Amino acid sequence: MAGRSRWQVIVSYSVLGFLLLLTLIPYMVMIVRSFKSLNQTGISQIFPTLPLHYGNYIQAWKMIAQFMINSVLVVVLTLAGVLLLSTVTAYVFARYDFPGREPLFWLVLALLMIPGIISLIPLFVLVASDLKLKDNYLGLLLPYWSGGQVFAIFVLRTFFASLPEELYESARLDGAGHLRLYWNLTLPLSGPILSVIAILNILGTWNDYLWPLLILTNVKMRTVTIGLTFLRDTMFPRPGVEMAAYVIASIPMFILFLATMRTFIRGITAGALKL
Amino acid sequence: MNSRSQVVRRGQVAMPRSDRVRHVLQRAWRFRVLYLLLLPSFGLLALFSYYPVMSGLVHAFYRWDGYHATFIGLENFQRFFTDLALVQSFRNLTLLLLFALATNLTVPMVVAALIYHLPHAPSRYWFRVGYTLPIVVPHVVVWLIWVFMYTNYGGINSFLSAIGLRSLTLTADGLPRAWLGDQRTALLGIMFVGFPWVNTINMLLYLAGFEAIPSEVMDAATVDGATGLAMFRRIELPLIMGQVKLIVVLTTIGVLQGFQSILVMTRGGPGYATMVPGLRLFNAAVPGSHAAEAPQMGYGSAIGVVLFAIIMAVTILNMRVMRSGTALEAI
Repeated sequence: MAGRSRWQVIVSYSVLGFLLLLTLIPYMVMIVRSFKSLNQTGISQIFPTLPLHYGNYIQAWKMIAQFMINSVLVVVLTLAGVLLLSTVTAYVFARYDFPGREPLFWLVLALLMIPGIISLIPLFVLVASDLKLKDNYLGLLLPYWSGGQVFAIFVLRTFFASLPEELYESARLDGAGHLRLYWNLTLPLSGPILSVIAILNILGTWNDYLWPLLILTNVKMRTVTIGLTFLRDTMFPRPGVEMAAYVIASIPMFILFLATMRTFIRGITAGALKL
Repeated sequence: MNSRSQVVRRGQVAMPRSDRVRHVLQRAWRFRVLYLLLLPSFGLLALFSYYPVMSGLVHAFYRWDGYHATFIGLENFQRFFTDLALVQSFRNLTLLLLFALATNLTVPMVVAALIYHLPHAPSRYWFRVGYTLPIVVPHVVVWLIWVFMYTNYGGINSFLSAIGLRSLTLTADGLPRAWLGDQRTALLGIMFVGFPWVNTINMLLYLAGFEAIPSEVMDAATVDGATGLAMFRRIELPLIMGQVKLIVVLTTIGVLQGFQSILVMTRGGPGYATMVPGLRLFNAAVPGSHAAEAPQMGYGSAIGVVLFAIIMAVTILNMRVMRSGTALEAI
């Protein structure tokens, strides 16, 4: 920026670099320690010690592989449901003028403002006691689908409504019905916004801790966040293995981040608005 | 689309009331496929989003174990004042909220401002990427790492010793301090999680705010001789007030509802040193190790209703902020 003196720029870089280092140190320590045996952990908190113990990763993988697979399954099914529900509903709201459209849309919108804490207990009673979906992935998926679609419908409706009406007119003249207008016209034009929604949803599901903790009591069904909290063995501490498990659990979202950097950053900014 | 709805409205004005109702019903029938398409979404919302809210509002006035409910009026709410855990939890909540507001408003803003003013586009991009990176680590992992760092022989004590503050790492008995296990330091420990508090999402929101400032405004200010801090205080800060208000609301809502980090790190202890209302609600519903206790779903719901009321008040007070469009700029 013009008018900035050189030392101001240097100070900016140093402050930003220093804060970034402080921010990342815990994660660097996590990675360093994941390569240490129990004896080596005592030697240095921050610096690596040779030889590196790759064995920690093998042990850790054996312990959390099942949880990782469970999480991937839940993430994929949640995403598929949320995308299907929200695109269809947003499409109907955006492209048709039918009686009751506005009040119905407000019913969806109002949910954005209602904090989740009030429904936590009743939802747990509904899913676990009334519907008997404890230790059943549907007990996770149904609420995830219901809650996940709200913000997506809100964002997608605005986007779908902004698509030019001429495209729809000419497609209709060619004899396209509801389904083709949705599948062959609307969806192909919405790639970027759909990936923002997808990233947000994947991140939310992968991270979720509370709901799987309440719904899944069967050890084999646990998702990875729950699995990690039960790794700690106070009798035989093995911090290296635990850290390796933490690193493994972070890898899927890291890959997603690398693959979709710009969309990812846009997605989490947008996601801040989901109350 | 717009023109079509105008035609309909004009038609409605001309018709008598009974005809109008029939007309709407006819139109509704013509669009029956659309209602069918909306059914899955609304079915789920009704059962899993709306019903639980209603159920929570109602059961706050009941004694409820999840199966049997007995109406007890305001008893659940009266119990608040004698529930030591809950009283303590609101004190902790206030401290956590003030601290979170102080950190969430300042540090991410400073970082965003510095990034925004960097002269080279690539370094702006890479700092943004760098500060976004931590978000790939699951929250649970972040909390567990901090638990590790707070142990007697953990990273925090090593760090403090290294910078010459060894006295802080010892308890009165001269033993290494376990930060989360000590009544006096546990809440402080919870607050310091995430140090230096460059919250990714808030940083990105601020950055979006800075980038939305029209370049003409900045240019005009530069021509008028504004530089550095004066520029920030007079020009930039007023123009990102929307973001500031938004982050106040988001932080408040987040802290009021948040208890998962505390559940993982300290379970509210030692004693009630880190108890928060959300966790008290959770414990009431899921007694866990105290298996002899029946779940107090009604009492938990009452806590939920109070938190709900506070959050709604905060949201409504700031409705103007949300409506002003600041909220949508970021997308």
